Amino acid sequence: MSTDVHQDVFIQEATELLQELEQSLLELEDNSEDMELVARVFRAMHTIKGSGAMFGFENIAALVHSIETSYDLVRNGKLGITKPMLDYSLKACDIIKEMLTDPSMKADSPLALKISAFFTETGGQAPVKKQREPVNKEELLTSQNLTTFRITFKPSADILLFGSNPELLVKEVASLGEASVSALTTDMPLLDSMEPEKCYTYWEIILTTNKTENDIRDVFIFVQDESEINISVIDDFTGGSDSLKKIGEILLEKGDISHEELTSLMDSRKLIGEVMVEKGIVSQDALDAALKEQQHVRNVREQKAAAENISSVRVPSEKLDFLVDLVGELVTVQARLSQIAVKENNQEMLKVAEEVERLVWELRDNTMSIRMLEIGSTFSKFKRLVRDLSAELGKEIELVTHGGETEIDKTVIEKLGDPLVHLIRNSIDHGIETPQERVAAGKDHKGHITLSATHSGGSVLIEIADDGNGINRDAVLKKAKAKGLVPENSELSDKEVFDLIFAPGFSTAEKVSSVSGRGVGMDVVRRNIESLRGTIDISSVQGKGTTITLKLPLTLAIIDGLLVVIGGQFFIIPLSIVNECIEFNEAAHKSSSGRRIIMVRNELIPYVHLRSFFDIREEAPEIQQIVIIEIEKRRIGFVVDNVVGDHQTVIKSLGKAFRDIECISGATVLGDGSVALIVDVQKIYTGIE
Amino acid sequence: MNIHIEKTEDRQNAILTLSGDITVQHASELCSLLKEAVNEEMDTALNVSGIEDVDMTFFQLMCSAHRSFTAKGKQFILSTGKNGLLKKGAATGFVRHKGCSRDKFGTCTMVMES
Repeated sequence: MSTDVHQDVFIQEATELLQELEQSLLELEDNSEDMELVARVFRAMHTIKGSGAMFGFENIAALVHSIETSYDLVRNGKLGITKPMLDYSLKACDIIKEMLTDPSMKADSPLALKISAFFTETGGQAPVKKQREPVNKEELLTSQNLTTFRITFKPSADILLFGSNPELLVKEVASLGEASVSALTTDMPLLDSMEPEKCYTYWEIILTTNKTENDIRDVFIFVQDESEINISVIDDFTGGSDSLKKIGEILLEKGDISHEELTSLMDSRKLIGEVMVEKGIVSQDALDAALKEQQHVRNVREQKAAAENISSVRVPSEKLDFLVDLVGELVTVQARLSQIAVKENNQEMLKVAEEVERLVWELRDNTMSIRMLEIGSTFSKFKRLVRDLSAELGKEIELVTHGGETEIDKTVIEKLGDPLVHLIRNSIDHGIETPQERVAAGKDHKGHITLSATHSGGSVLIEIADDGNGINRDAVLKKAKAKGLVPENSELSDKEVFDLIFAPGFSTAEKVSSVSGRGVGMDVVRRNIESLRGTIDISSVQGKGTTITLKLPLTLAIIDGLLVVIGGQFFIIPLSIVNECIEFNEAAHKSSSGRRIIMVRNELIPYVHLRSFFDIREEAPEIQQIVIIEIEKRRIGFVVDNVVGDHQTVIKSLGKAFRDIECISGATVLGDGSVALIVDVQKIYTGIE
Repeated sequence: MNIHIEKTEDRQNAILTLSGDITVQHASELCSLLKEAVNEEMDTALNVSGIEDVDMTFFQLMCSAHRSFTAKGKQFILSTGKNGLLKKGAATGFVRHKGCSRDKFGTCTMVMES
């Protein structure tokens, strides 16, 4: 097949695409918000450009490039469709038609240049994504969101006849990261029935990249309709080295062998892959691909570990803690400097104070980021725990982790280990049923515990969810009544019942096992989480499973706080939970209602007088402020004398002498040297509840 | 593509020497040549040292020819220059550690020579 034949095929295909493109552009004139139409235009442009470049129509590729980029921006919601855009796109279609009849025609006619200039100006000059630079291996291995994908690309047998080159696509995918490529030729016919211009090969690419699945799919965009493309994640680097898959597991995962076939071969003393090939269960090709996959994952992990070691410096954590303390002192001194500058009204000093403030903020953010660790390292420890405990209890449980890359302060991570162990043990022991029980309940014989972490504002949410039996509400209530934790005739909501689990000494497990059931776990878990200024919440559906959500602060050292005054004393309320501040006139409010509830935009919000809560005896001003905060999706108000504003709060512990003071979680030093107490909002809220 | 065919005096072996670019444009021609060779009663060696460029159609033909010859109990080998070609093929996965189950002579065209 000559190049001319390829070109003819392209010309025919491009002519058809141009008709479709024109149609879509005209429809877009009437319905510019239709994203399906935008996607259609983008796909057509992408195909014309890609195939054009492949078959020598560089002029078309050059013209279409900026147009395609503009429609990509529209597709991603970064640009809106305008009339000139559609006009120029239609004119570009006319020029492309001319170029198809005359390949020597250059994209430098006045109209073509005008079109290019227009689209470049509207945003089409962002070819960074398209002009792929060679991947820097060290940068890749130390980058965030590193994932290893298995990509199976089975092109149509006629792909070469359609004018597409699958080898170029394979190379393009491989260029997205570190790749191992296997061409599988299992279905190669004998010469008698061979049609040499057909494609009998399919590819398996093991790719470690920081790109997304969509980025990979984009490579196949103009052959995807005629090809079979499967992309799956095989490693997200959250597990430890013990989680490397065995050859049998890889072949099973790919569907090359069945579970029964694998089990029947397990007793053989030979290497399992060789036995499979000998018995004709898998082809040598498939085994080679699986070996290549295993080797790739092992190599990349080792290289990643080496690269990270090279690009990082080990520092004792005490030094880091000391650095954070110093930054905390600096924040306090900076606040003092700013205060003096304002007081003196010295312009020169104000300028310096502002500059120092900016630098201190940057220093604070950088120092805090150094203390941030990925939670994945903690997650990976639990795989072993789940494996061992489930085996001990005769259960089949798989631990699934998500969000291992979520970063959280190292102190929080250090203190989080024990509570998580308790919660996972509980899920294994009380939550997940035995395989027989699960099958009888119509569930998969294997149970799942999902451990996930996500950022949510200034906090990290950690969820431990299982698909087990759920919490037996009645059993909990009965036990609580028997232990005298609640009155006999009390009616409680689900949340109140589940909260009983955190009561000291509470356990519904009928038998005490080595895993759990001693009733010393959950109250300790709650105390530990609360000591981290976090919250714990349980939701459960009988027969379906239980989800425990931990909400933890990102950091324990410096927080953004809201500085308020009550009776001349300063207090800090964590800013992350503050919704709004409104004026509050006690006298006016008293006349309308005797209860401590205020109406804010048709919402009834209960409030607490922090003055009386902290027993401050000074007279309250006539007009006070109410700070409305939100905890567990409920809003409550704290009445204070005055709101000063936001404040970088360096948290200092109160020391042993004040250890028993409730509802104050620490203190901070203000710019003028006075002390502000940090309100433990969660404790107050729980008390009110 | 240039082809030179040489046969030994006892007509037991044939050596096919290929040079130039052996890509999709020449796939049909090479396929016909190999079909003729497989029907002759002799082992065949391909001298590939003069080949400048190949694509997937070349590797497919080599795999098909190897299977066809082996099925007839004859040997088909890539002689001089094999490793150079396989280094090119490695970018798109056309290289093996071991031949397939049909490779009874251990002459898989995609296994590098040690």
